[in-house]
Amino acid sequence: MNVLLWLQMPWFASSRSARTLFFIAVLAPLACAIASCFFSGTPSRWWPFGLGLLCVGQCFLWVFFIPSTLALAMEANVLRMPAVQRHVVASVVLYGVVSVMAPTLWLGLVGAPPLTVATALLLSGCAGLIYATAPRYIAVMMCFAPALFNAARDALHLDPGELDDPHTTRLMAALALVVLAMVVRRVRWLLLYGDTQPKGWAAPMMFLWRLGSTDERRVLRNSPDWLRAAPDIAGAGPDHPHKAIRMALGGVYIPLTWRGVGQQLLVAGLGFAVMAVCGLLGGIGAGARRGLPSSGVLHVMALSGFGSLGLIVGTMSGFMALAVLNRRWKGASTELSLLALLPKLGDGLALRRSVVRACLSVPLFLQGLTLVAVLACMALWPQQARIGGFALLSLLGTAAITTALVVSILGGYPLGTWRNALLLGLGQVLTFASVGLPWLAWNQQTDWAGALLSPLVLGWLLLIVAMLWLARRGWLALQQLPHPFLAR
Amino acid sequence: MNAVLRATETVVPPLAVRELVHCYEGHNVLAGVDLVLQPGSVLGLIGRNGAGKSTLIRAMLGLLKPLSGEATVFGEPALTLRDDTKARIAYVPQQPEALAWLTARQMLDFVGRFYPRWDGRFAHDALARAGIVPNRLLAKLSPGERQRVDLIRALASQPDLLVLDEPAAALDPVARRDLLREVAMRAGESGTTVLFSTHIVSDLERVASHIALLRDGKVQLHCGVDETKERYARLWLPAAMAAHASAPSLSQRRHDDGSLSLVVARDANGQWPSAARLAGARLDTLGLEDLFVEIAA
Repeated sequence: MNVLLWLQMPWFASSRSARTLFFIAVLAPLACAIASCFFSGTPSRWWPFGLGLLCVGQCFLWVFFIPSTLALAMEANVLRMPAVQRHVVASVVLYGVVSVMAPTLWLGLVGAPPLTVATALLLSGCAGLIYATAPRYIAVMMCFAPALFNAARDALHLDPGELDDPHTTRLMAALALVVLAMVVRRVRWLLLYGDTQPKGWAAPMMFLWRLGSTDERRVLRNSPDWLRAAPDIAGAGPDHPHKAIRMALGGVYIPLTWRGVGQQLLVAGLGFAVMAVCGLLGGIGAGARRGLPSSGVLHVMALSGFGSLGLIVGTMSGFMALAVLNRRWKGASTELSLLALLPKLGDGLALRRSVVRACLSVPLFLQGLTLVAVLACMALWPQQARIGGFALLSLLGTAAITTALVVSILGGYPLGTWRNALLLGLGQVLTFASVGLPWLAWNQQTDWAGALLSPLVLGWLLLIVAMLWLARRGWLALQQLPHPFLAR
Repeated sequence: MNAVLRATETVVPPLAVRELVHCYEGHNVLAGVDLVLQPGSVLGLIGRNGAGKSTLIRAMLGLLKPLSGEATVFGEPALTLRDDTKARIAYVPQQPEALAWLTARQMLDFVGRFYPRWDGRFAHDALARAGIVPNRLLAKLSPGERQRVDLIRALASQPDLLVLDEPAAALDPVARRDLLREVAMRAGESGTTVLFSTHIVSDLERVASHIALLRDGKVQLHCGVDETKERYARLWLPAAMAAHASAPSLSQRRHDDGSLSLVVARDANGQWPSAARLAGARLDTLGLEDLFVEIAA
């Protein structure tokens, strides 16, 4: 028995990013649960909320953290190291017991029914592990399960009931046992034959984050040809240096043919369409329970969904562009070497402008499309135009953040992972506040939300000014560099 | 007048570095490197893993800014090359992974647009000879195939200066021999200057006209390949004489029995160090591989 080793095993087997994720996704919900319990006046009524937070943490623990040990065990099997496999199995069992029993004990002490808590935690953990070990195409479909359930609950008269209802507990226990059986079978199979698993979309989901989804070459290698966007190399040459630079940068920057654009929209659109239809059906059902007309609910949901989707796309475009640029300008990237020695790209200020144009074009174009979406919502929903105004402000802020971070990378002043995450996170918080607070203030007549609107505007304005300063600093630094493709 | 101009052009070295210093995380990788490539020469850059070969190559081409020192390409500062000069250079990095999202044909088509002397026919034929499917995504090629495609890309631009960072690392023996033949042919027929880094000493012997050995951030040895046997030797001194040895040497190794092995060079007058004349001293001729092992170890 080496309990300490078993406890340490997931930590040793995890990549650095998985460890970071552990703090964010697992410990943050746990900390929130502890804090909310501490500040809650009546813990006996608080426990469903705390259990919800703990289930989120439990799910993430078994999605992102524990599977790294399973991958280690699979490698140990290939390397004929059965002792490592045995330790991994012991570690997984230990974490299973501790992650269910410890919270159950805690919540039991504050008055929660222990069986319900244990069942919910077991179900969350098993769901997380089955998601992590399932082939990627099945795991993607599993993401739609909550939306599908929400949509189907009215049509099929499914009512999960209250959490402390014994019937609900029995239902959860039965479901947990089924999923547990599936998990045991799947894990056992992976430990024995995991190395013979096909790669790409048929590979277990956990491999995606274990090796890093940012390894674009591996992703490209494992992607089927029909899923690959068709690059448009026709105009990428000395006559259009910014397009040539985009081609060399890769990722979201690759110029696509119209067929390629349609193909990508189809792939992304399918997922969004399923989510949108499920969301609408769920919303109509919820509206019907409150006696609201379907047409009104549909109108509100369609427009708010459209606007929210626009905001998400706008923010995500910035994230993805920054990820590509960070990879290219970090270390000795081969693309950067190629660009540095490629003749006819221009020189001096013209080349720097081409680089900035190429690097900003894609995220700002997508954010421009988002702007159009928000303006369309404002036109179709004039009574909510004031909310649209806040959405516009958030878009402006997001564009400023994207511009500042991009130009900082180009100028040799990358802010680093944590500062980038902090700024982007702040932008996200302000964006969601820009959608939520005006809605609460003007539609729900919530006083505290109304009082926060002016500080929100001020916050955005301060952030935009700071971003403009950062962008200017980056641009001046870029002009001082001997050429814009110097590795950092 | 034209003759004078031509003469001036020919003496401009394709690559030259002076007092080049660079460090990573406080560790000096290049500690004052001086190196000049003569036009038409094939220089093999050799050194142990982590000796700084790739860093030196990248600094020579202006791909990174050294802490201090100067690098020039065809007489121009490496960090601010003009388009005309860039068109004369081809560089194949150690891990040619660029543009993995394009097919081999798309990549060659795209890159070829930038080079005025691009030989599309050569690129097409070379791909066919290598048995690489042109419509295959670069990301899906094996490392050896990727390296071959990148070498084809480099050679198709008909460069005056070809810089290869461990070009044979992923190649099979047949492909390696093809590459060396191509390099030798380009250097011999077109006067292309070649710099290539490698661990494989037999490759050096096959094509290099000169070698440079990088150790401790400096070029320890730079001479013609044919000169090495004449110029360098291993001097072995018995234990009794080892204490009297004051010979300037490229490396020293003391054996368990107290005897001493030194790699020594002839002086400007072609004489071995005086220690070679001590009683019991022995001079051994060194092959290129032995010389590398003795100095780099």
